[in-house]
Amino acid sequence: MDKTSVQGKAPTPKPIESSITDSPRHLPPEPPLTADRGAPSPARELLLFLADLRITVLLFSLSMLLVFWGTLAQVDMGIWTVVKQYFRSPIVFVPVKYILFFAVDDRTLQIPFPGGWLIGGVMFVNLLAAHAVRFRLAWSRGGIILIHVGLIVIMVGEVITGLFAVEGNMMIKEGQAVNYVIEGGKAEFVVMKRVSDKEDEVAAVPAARLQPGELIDDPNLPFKLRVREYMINSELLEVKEVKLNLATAGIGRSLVAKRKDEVAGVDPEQKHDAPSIYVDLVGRDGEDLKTWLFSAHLENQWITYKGVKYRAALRFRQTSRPFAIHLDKFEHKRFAGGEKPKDFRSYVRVLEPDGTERKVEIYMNAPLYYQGETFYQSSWTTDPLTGRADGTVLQVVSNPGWLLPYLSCVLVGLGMLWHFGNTLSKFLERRKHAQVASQFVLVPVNSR
Amino acid sequence: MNKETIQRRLPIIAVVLTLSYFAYHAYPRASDSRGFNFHEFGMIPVIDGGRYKPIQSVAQNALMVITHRSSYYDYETSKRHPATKWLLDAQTTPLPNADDLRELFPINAEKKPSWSQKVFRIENDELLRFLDLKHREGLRYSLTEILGDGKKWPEFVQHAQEVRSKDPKTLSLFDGKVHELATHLQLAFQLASHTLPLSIPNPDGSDQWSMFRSSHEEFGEKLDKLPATPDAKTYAALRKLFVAYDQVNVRDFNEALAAHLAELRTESPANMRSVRVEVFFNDFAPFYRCLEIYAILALIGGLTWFPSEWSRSLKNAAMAAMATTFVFHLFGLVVRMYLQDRMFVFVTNLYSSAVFIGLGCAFVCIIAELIFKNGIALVIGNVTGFCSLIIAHMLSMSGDTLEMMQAVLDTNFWLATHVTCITLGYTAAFVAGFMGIAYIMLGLFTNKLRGEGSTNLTRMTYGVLCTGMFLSFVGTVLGGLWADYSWGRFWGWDPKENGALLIVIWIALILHARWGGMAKHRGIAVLSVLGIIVTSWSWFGTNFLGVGLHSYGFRQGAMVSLMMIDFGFLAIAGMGLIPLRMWTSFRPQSHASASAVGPRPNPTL
Repeated sequence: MDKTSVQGKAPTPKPIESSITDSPRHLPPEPPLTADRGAPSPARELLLFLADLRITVLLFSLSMLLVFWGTLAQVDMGIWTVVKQYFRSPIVFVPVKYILFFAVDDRTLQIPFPGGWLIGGVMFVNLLAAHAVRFRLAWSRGGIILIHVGLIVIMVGEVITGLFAVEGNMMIKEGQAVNYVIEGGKAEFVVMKRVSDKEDEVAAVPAARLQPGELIDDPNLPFKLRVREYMINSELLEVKEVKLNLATAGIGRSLVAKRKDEVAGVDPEQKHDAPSIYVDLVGRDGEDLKTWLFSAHLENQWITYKGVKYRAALRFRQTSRPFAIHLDKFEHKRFAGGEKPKDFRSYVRVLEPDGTERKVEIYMNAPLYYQGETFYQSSWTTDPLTGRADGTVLQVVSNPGWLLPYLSCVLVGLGMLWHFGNTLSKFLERRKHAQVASQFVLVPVNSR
Repeated sequence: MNKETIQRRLPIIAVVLTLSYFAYHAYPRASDSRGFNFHEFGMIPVIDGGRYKPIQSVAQNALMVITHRSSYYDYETSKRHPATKWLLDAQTTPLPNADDLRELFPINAEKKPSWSQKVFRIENDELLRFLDLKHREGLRYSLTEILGDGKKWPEFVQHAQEVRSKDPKTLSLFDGKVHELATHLQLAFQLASHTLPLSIPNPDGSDQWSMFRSSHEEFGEKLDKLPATPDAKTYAALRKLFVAYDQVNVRDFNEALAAHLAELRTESPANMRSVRVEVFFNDFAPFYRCLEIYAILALIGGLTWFPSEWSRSLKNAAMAAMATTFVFHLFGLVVRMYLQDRMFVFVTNLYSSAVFIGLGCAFVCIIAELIFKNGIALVIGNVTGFCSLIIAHMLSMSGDTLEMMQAVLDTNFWLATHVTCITLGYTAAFVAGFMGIAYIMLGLFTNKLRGEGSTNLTRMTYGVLCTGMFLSFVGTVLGGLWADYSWGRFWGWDPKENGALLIVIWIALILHARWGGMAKHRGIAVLSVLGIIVTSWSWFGTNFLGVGLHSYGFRQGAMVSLMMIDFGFLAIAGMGLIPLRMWTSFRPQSHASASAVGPRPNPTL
């Protein structure tokens, strides 16, 4: 505010438009983009265009819509499907259903929209361009630079997580030791042949290749497969509960798989999808080996082909570890007089390859860090007969970018304190000089 | 005393008035014309919902759920009674259609008309018709009325059982209301049949207490031959109380009660201290008191906008009263921390987030008012304080507000940092939004934004937005760090995380639009109002999508009310788009009149 109003003279009212359209005056105005440089070169012109704050605001608007629709989509789809479709993709087809906030219930009509990679990428370019254009080493801009460096760090962190982080889980029953991790959401069809006491020869077909109608002829497999039906999520029913049963061999003659909705991202009891598959097995010479049901709900099934015994299953991808984790006891406490969980705790022993072992308790907010991976208490299994908790489910995560968010938080936090603190102190400083004038709004405008 | 002295002393008078209002309510008044000491009865400790609490809390929370008040109104005698009386009546009256409790308390049921008390609130017309009940003022009905002649009852029970097996997401409004009433009736029945709360301590000293009902089966009616274990002693004491109450024997009741409490105090003084604090907290109801005062102060604050020689002293008085109220508001939250034994954890559930947002709004606005001294922040602070406490009050109708936390959330460090930051971020966004509303309203309908008025209000909003930016960002990232620490995933794109992200992006959008000159004063005001919608989505909306880890509160039908409220804010933002030349503050005017209404320094200085 200018000094004349400080003196207590009634200032002449300015033309109204100017008081509204003036840019706020207590911040230094953005430096003019083309200051002192004469006519900009075409490259610079491009840079100036890319650095435009209007693009920033547009990107913010687009990202808000994307995040909002990506939230609504979780009502129908699993969180990982949504993350893949909306946030970790260049383009996404958003059903009109979400755009109209469930006013229509139609998921077939979709409009294309920029996805997370695209918006994030352009934002990144916009941010770099803006700093290239306006870069000035000054105390007053240090905060802004720090904030944006922090944001770049967090975006890089999210990209690294998206590309390299691996999440899986370990399911261990009490008294058992497990040395492999099940990678969540990645189903595969496997055929195993026992080659020695300890070793299996495994041939696997990832779920993405299991398309209905497809004939899969893989040299690693002892026979060919023709997929009849693939269900991303399913439940098993008794055969007498349904009319039609595709399976003609194996456990499929007594159990039938029924398609279920994908586990929704907003479901409180969020679990993994349990896929099932109906598949015709076809011999190398074209002989019919019948139709089988395989399911993540089921154990391995024996198949004999040309006198050799194979085990086959649809299961989640497993990767083995050089160490094993042995579950001594799982404890599940509830609050007195209610069902609300109070504490879950796994008492485990880490069995290391050299024979040593280490006792560890894993519970909520107290994971185990071991060999670059982190083991978190995630869930538990129950005995179907007694309903007693008899095993634990540990979430296993390795994320090479885990440190970046911590770094970013510090950078942005400091940057904001610096920048906003600077603005505030300048404002208060000016206010001190202008204290007399500070009362003016209080004046009833129509007092005389 | 002359006028000037009064004006000078008005703030002191305001503080004294506020203090005496609080002091008046700090005293319990819960006895009976017959002399039963209901207030002392409320201090009996029980375990319910996983925590140790006075039986008064059980009674009040139950009434809050079924009748939306923490006490009840006797339509026969036209008197309001404490919840503990309702509970005692229910616990000593056999259920009308259940014979199994008749043997527990065989005595004169008709003298204690517990089931003819009109306490069950039914607001759905379809359900009222279904039960053959007439729409009446207050919408409270008694169990006897609901049972009616018994013809409709089996049908209701059957329907309620069908509804229970359905997926809660697919329920129709009517089904939902049937389920609600059935749940309320069940709660009352459980209290009446002594299956709730757990009132008999475990002899081994653990928190696995048992029901009065099972002790009754164990120990029977012969009180003189019981072992000297804590469970038997408590059972005997409670049974004595119930029998005395049943026989309307006031003296026995009060004596047995005093003896029992005295024994408890010597045996477990620490527990009884927290029970006593909770009873005081229930009686005092600090947040409800603050709510009332904020409402009054919002009106007084509005008065100070009108030109008068009193407006300045009135404004100071309102500020003084608001600061006093703020202290009690904070005090209430500190007592909650003590009761939950979680220092610096302001927010443990949706209810306390609303209370804390109210506190934050009051705080931010007191600061803004001290800096800008224009009376606008004063009104906004009281309005937002009032609104958030109203929301809290409505949320308290879903049960115990001091409920225990789920295992994952049970960590004081992250609750104190992440949740506090995020909630303060909501607070800042709400306050900025209400400042935007003030900008639009004052600009459209008054002269207040002429000259520096517009700039100053925008500066205030900008300051609050920057604070909000900082808090939301840090809060959101802290949440990510918690998630990383707790299940190895910094960011999972879960609905609540996305909601927090939306607030951060929205404020960033406003700030960048301002720096780029796209939004000026009016633009910032309009965008801030829209920010309320974004924030309310993050705070409430995401909870309606399903019940995840973060969704600590779910209330049916609330989605519809949220959308209505959001449409209201949208309409206000729309009003902000009316061309500026039509705004009273910015209407072009002749030079002569302009100088007459132009801003000038305060003549009182």
